[in-house]
Amino acid sequence: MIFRCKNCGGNIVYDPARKAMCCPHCDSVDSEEAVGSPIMNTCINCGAPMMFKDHTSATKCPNCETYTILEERVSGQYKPDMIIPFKISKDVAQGMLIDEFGKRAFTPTGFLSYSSISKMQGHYVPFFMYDYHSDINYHAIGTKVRTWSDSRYNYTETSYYDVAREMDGDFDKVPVDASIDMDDGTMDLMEPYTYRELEEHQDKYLSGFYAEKYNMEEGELAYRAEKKVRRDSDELLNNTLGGYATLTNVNKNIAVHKRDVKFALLPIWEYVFNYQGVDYKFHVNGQTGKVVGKTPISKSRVLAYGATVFGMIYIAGMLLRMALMAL
Amino acid sequence: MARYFKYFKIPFIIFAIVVIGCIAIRISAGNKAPVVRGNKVTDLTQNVFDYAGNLTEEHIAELESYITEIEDQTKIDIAIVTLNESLEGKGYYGGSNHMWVNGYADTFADVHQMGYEMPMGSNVVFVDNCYREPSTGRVDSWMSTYGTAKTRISEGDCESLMDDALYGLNDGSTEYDYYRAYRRVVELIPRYASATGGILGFLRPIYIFAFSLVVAAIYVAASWRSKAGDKTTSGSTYLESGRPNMRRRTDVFLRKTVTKVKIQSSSGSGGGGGHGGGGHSR
Repeated sequence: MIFRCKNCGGNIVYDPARKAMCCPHCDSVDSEEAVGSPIMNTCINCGAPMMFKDHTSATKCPNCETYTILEERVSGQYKPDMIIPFKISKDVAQGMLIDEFGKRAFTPTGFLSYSSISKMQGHYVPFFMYDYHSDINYHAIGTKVRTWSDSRYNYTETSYYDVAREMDGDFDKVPVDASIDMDDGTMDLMEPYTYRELEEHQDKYLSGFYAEKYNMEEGELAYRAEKKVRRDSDELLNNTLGGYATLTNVNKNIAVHKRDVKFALLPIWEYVFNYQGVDYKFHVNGQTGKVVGKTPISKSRVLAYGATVFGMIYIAGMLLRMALMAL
Repeated sequence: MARYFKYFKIPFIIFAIVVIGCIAIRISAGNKAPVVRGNKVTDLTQNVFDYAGNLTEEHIAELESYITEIEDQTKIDIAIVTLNESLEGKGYYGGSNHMWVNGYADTFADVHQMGYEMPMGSNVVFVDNCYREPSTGRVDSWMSTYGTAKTRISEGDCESLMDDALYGLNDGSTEYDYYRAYRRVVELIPRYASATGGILGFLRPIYIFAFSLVVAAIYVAASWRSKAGDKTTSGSTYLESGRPNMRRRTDVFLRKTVTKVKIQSSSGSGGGGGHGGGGHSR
């Protein structure tokens, strides 16, 4: 399926800045019509053959650059329950990358050049969102310590307490990415998303971007959600235990159970920079603008800049010494 | 290259200011009124008092001449004193040879009313007592400083100066070795004795080199960020109501214990006196 402009026949894409379907050719807004194709692996617009990866649900024709959505991969069991449409446009995302990494001294030449950064792509990443209930039971012996002195002695008073906590909570939409290609740690760092902007899925949001259907099952990913819920529960418990010098646990039990799970697509801008044969990936949260990525280091810059700092301080120090010796 | 100057624009400006400042200091130093010999009391013609007989007449004469030259350069009255005797029970403060030599040097400066610009002015007295203390088996030396010399040459400077100059002196030292060592003492005084006092002690080339290396290393470490990003969720991010439902929260006091530890008294230490300086043992 593609979205075609009723006015000029061009490919209509979703514009995050205007929050509308826009035609980049005639600038029409909301003039789209969905056009399907019975022929698989062929571009609906130009007829050129298209190669789809196993999990791709939206991509771009390499010949005419028309964004194509594979209906069978966004419907039925693969139909997302929810989606957060891109809120940050490509230009803004590029600006955020430059703001974040532009001042780093040791990045190699061309890292944030226009020709490199313009290759940034928008991806809808498949996520499962888990709802969990957590039940926390805690019992410990805590101590509080007070010290004071007089003219002859240092005193230490240790008070012992019986500490008990019973609490529970419902965790909603704990996200876990269901994409083999995306790094789990990086996807965790993209959190949090603002869930009040979650919408019911509509295929039109995918036009203009790349997307995947989920390619890992929710059952095999539940352990990651459970791990997050346990970690968060532990943090909530610790927040109630301030003021104690020591805590000796008698009983600590965090029981979690899954209540529900939903499938959602979440927006991420991805920029890949190849340096010395290694791909360095940078991601910008397509909704919040949070930037995640590890920059490559140019060893020649480290040497040159480090030597400059060393040289300036050494020369300044020696000049100062010579000046002071003249006094 | 443009990127290089982008990162170093401010450091280069600071660097230029330092260079200009140093040039200004040198120029102003050249315009300053000179310090002249003004001590009419002390005998400025004798600077070497070789009571231990470590030097030949020829070496003493050469050393005297060299000291006069350095005195005019540094505006500090300098004396070299050699001894070979125990100073125990001779009225000097302290309980060790090290301290007695210190007392001897300070007293020597006072008795001779030493000073370049005036009596009891800027002076340095170097005492090398070749007497080997039986209890320690060591030979002690002391460099006493007074007046501007005290502020210009720190205790640490005195010690490192003697470490440098007396390195290698031992029982088998010849007259030439002593001459060379004492001449080195005199030679090093101008290097430490600037009008800026102890600052130059910190501005030794090796220190500048090490400091530059450390700052460059810190700069590289600070700029070398390897973290991909920060975790920005908390325990309550996905909690439905923003906070957990607290069913029970009790903190029941059980008992208390009190321990007391006697405070160890520490003895204070005194200080003072007009002379500065540092010691050396070999």
